[in-house]
Amino acid sequence: MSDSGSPDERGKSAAPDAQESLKAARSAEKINEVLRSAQQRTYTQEDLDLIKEKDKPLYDKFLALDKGENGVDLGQNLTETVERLDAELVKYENKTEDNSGDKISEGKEEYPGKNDFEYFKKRLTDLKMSDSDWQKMLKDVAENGLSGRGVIEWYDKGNDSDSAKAILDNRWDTQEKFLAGVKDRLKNPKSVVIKSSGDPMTGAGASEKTEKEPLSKVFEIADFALLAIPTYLESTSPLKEDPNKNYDALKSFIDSKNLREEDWKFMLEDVSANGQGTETESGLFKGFRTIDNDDATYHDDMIKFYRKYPTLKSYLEAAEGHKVDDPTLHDFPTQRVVATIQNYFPNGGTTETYKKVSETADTEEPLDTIVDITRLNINDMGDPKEKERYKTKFVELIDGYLGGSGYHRRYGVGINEVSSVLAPEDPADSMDLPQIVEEFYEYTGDEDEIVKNESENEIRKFGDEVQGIYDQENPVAEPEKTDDDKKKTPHTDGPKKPGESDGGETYNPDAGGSGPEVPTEDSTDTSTVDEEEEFVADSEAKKEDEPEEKDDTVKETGSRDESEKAKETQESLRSHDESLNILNDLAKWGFKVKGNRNFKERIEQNLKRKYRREYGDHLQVHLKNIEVKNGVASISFLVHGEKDKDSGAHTNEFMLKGFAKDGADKTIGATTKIGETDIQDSEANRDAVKKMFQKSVFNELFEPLVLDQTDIGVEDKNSELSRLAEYVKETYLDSDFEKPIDKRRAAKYAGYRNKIQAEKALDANWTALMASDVLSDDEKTKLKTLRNK
Amino acid sequence: MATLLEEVIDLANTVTALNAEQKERILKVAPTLSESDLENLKKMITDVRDSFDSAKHEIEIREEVASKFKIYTKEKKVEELHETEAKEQSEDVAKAETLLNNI
Repeated sequence: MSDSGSPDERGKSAAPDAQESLKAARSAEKINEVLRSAQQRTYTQEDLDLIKEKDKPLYDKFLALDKGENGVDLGQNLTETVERLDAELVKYENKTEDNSGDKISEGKEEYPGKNDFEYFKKRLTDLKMSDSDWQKMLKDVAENGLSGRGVIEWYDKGNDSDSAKAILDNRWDTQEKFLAGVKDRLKNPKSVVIKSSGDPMTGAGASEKTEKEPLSKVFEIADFALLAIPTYLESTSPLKEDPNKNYDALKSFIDSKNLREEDWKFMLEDVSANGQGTETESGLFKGFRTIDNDDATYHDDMIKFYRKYPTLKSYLEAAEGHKVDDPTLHDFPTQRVVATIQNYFPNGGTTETYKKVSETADTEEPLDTIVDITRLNINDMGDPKEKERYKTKFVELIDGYLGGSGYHRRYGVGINEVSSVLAPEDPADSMDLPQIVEEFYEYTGDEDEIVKNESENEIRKFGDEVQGIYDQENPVAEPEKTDDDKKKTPHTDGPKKPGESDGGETYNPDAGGSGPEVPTEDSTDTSTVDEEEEFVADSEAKKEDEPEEKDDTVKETGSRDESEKAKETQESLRSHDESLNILNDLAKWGFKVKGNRNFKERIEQNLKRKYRREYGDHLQVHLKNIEVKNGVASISFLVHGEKDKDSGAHTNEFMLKGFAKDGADKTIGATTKIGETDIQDSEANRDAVKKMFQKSVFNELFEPLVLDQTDIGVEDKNSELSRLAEYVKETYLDSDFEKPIDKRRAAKYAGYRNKIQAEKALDANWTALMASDVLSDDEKTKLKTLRNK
Repeated sequence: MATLLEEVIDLANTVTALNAEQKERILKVAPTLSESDLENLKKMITDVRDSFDSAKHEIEIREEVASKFKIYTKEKKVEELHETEAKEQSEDVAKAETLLNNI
């Protein structure tokens, strides 16, 4: 209203306030404060409309201000400009002081970039001292000094205390405040009073003048922090106890573990090759992922690390040398090393590790078996994602089965070897991965059964009892021994007929009602009298061993249903026994069969899978006979179309033979016995079948199941003893008993797959070894003592 | 003709954004500098001055806007008050006339 006056006049009346503010500012910082304060004022659109309505030119100026997202922050710009000027002034001042011969750090250890604030700031920041430690250090040093602790000899106590007190007096209780304070002091040196006492006797010439604090004084405080912090951390801080940040603690930690060079080597080799496991796995490396979740990076790092420090000694020497420039070992690899050692040797020394290794030793056999039977070629799988999924799954299975990774290498089977199995060079070695995984599960399941051996024996005993009763009640189960039967036995071009009784060990899955049903005349006729007699005799022998009262009990309670169940049980057990018989037969001829369960079924499954893959699902395959004779293992099987199942027409019989005895002749012969009305009876077909089986089927059927075919005959037996002698001399006789790594290597040198296999061979050939002359009497005595034989 | 050193010193003395201590340091160090360093220092001082002037300009505009907005707001409220008063007065008059007419 009447007291408001015109806008222009009122604007002029307001301007002096702004001018006063500017006048009072006097420095960039103050101006910046005023500007920031002015910028705090915001306007609504309605407000702006009002201004626009009243004073359009002013409104336009306001909108044009170079501020905010689209323009330059003038306040910040001003601050930075002034800071640049300050930094330049400091540089010029230092240059002037240096030129004048005023050595700032005279008599003290110099470092690159001294008197350079930015360098100082970086060095201080890199030390990564917490503010709580900072405060603790300042109070401690202010009170006690540093030299009193004997850690900085050239720094006298007074200067340390004075510097620490000066920092505390300035209330630079955080490093951020300290840096800001030092920076400010460098820009704006405070005034100090310089007193001169004059003549000591008369006092003449005494004077007192005020001068600016020299920059050297400021840097003296900076120097204190820069050099005192690491020394203090090393000597007094709780970090002294941290092996990750203190050399002495690191050395003490490693010393406490009583690590040997071979432990160091083992640890790094193992981790770099196999990783550290996962949180969900058991084993030494459980929880290691809490340190590093990235396995790949970890492996790479560990491999590099191993190359750099191949010995424990070299690592410790490097750490000791490193601490001179970096007392907190900030840039030295400690964390992973300390953590890995702790995981490998939680209770110190090597005992714990090797104990764990030995505890898991029993798992080696399944792994080896699985790896060996895994002749798969995942590259054949069409879907890359599916392929990768299976691959990952398979590795996980193996990994998990061992109770954590890292041990594969110990058993001679590393990840690389597993990988080579996953992608074999020869596609003929391939198998379907799903099948492998399935077999893996089956195998591990079997292992569990073996653990329950006692209870299984109980079941078997019961089954034998029931079988005795069943046999008495069902005499038809006994095959008749007639000459006609023998004539009906199919024959092949192989060396012997299946079931032919010429002193060889035979097995016929169709005998006694077990094994796959083959509804052909040939197949049913393959039952041999000798085999059945053997089996019955065996059953009778088992029966004789059983208490008779149990037979009575079963007789009293036996109903038809129970009899059928018992029959099924007995058939299952018989099948199992037959597998064992095959194993025994194979073993007699030097075939060391891996895996002792479901042997027959596994061979048949392999056979079916292979055949179907080649010829399609319309063909049925049945295992007919397995024979091991004179070092020759043969398998005969039947192939027929689905529609010919009942008629027996179009049935082919094939026989595969593996020659084990003569090392020079290990090729596989494939012979065929063609059914009478076989439409596939052609030379080309036979050749094709032969070719296919020569290369792949034997590998699939036998090789995975046979560890070693060389230890046949007297000569080979002697070779075996020689290998064992070499092994025991390297391990038991010439070395300390507890040297698992040496055992492993010795086993390899002696030609064994690993130490487990060597130990098993030692057990198996113990008597022969003791009776041989490959070891002296003294050596035998010592060996007996060490192995408690 | 002023030397470069004199120009730098004069410039430093006229820049409001520099405080007394900064000016003193410039005066102290400038005589020891080479010509190229002096040129550099002059440029940096000039930058400070320009930055200050820009900031000053923004402050002045903002201060002016703030002060005038205060006045404008007050004026607006007065006007609104006058309008309200006039309206109420008008209503009162109308009401009175109505009463008079009803008598």
